[in-house]
Amino acid sequence: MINYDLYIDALIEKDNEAFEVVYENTKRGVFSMILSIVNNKAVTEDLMQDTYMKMIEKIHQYKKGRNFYAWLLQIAKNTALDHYRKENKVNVYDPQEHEYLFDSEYNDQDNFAVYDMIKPLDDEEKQIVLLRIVSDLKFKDIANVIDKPIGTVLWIYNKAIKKLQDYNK
Amino acid sequence: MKKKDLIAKIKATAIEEMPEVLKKIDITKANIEDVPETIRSPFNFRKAVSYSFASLFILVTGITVFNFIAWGNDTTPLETDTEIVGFQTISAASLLEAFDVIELSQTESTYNIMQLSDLTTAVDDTTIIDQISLVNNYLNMAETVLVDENQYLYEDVESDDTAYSYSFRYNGTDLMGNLISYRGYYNIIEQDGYQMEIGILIHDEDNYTYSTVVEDNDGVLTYRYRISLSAQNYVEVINSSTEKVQQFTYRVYKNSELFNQSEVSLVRNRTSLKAQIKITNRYNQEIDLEVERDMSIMENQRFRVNYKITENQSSTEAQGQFTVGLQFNDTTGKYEYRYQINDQEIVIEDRPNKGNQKATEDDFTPGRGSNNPFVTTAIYTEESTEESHSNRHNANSGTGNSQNLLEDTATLNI
Repeated sequence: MINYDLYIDALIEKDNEAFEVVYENTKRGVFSMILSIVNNKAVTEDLMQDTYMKMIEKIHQYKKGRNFYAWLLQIAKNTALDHYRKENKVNVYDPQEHEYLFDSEYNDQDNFAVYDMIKPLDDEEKQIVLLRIVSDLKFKDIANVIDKPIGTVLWIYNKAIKKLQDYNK
Repeated sequence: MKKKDLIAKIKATAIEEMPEVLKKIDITKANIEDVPETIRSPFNFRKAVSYSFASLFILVTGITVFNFIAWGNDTTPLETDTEIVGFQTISAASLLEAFDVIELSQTESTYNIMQLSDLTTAVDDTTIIDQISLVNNYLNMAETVLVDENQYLYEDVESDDTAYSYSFRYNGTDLMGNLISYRGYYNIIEQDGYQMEIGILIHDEDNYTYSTVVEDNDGVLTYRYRISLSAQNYVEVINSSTEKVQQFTYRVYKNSELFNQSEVSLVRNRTSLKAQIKITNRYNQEIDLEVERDMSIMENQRFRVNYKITENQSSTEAQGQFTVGLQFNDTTGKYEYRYQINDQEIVIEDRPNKGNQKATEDDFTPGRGSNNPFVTTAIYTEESTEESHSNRHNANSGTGNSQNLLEDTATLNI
């Protein structure tokens, strides 16, 4: 994993090269986080853009030495949740808050195929599995992002993988 | 579907579907919010003085403790019950991982041997090279648990899994300075009148189960830990320490048959931490390794190993030195062990993936421990805690007789 702190000053200066480095190294994580909440291609694309714009806008809130990637993923998660809350068109589900997720009307069209592959998982399991598998995030960072103990994250992940193995037999 | 294939399929599908939005983001249009204001509290003379005295106290205490540790005699490195039990279970799990990952996928003749130069002569005999695949499993274990005292942490933590009453964690570093983490969860149960621990060990995506195994030989109880990947494939570890030496015996079982045995001893002196590993191979040869880890360059550590191979505990077949470091294989995308033997030949061996995130000082800073009870601990720790002592008294009156299990085993001395 790169040292994102080296790029913070350049991001404040809106340096495109620095942004490209940060984007390329974090896009899978941002995509995974949004995908765990949203199952719509067009919306996901918009939310990814919003996430990175918010990251630049709030860059002064990030303190060097902390976990930049986890901070960015928190923005992605909040952006995805806020989107639906603001739109007020659908019910929203935050796996960590145990609320209802998203509107099925949205998901029936233009959905992600990968979402069907992880269909048997509950929403928290989806979030952990996607962050681990797609973005190669360490369990420690996943625990940080979803605010759960690392042991719980490991346990949920292993349970989810077994569930997927049974589902894909 | 196999776990590996399943994960690969999900990953490939997700990456293929991931939208590419870089060119749609114009960061020049972003309105960067102002720097948040920080309010500084006014200078407090009393607080400053108290901090100064506290710092001075910590400094003096630290120097005293350092002197006590640094200038003492050779010490047994594992001190608390958690360290002793954690070491046994985690070292056995890493050994099991190595045997499972490497041995099952590789025969003894598949390693790559390269001459450093065509002009150099090969070592007189290839005795050690023939054993490198076996030795490699133990170096994998050493990479996980043979770590300088400032770079590892065994810690009691509160269990966050309702299925288990107790929990501990281990943090160490691999040869690249990356963090290696294990988390253990266990219960103490009573079965057939004996107390025993039953739990799990979690390392990245791998889960191991472990349990205490009790043997009652005419009223003399002996205890060992069994760390399992499955009912047929497991490692048993016996704490055969004395008051002077921390020593553990390992037995590797495959398909329920004894596959390999070894003894490991640990010794720390003022300058280094060493492991003496004695492995008995299938030809009844004894391979003695004295392993020292050079951690002077954190991101490029290596092992220095003195080896000796003897036949039937009599004549010396071969002896010499080798060093072991890591090298990255661009084709497989993994790190491999690189053995340089007697400054001449290089042997490349597989290495299971370990951590890939740099360890920080925080990873080795203990929090508040919960003083977990354990059923079995070492002889020399009998006075370590009242709680563990009472458990041992109940369940482990035969620890002093663990020596009778030493025959046909191997020991690891750290």
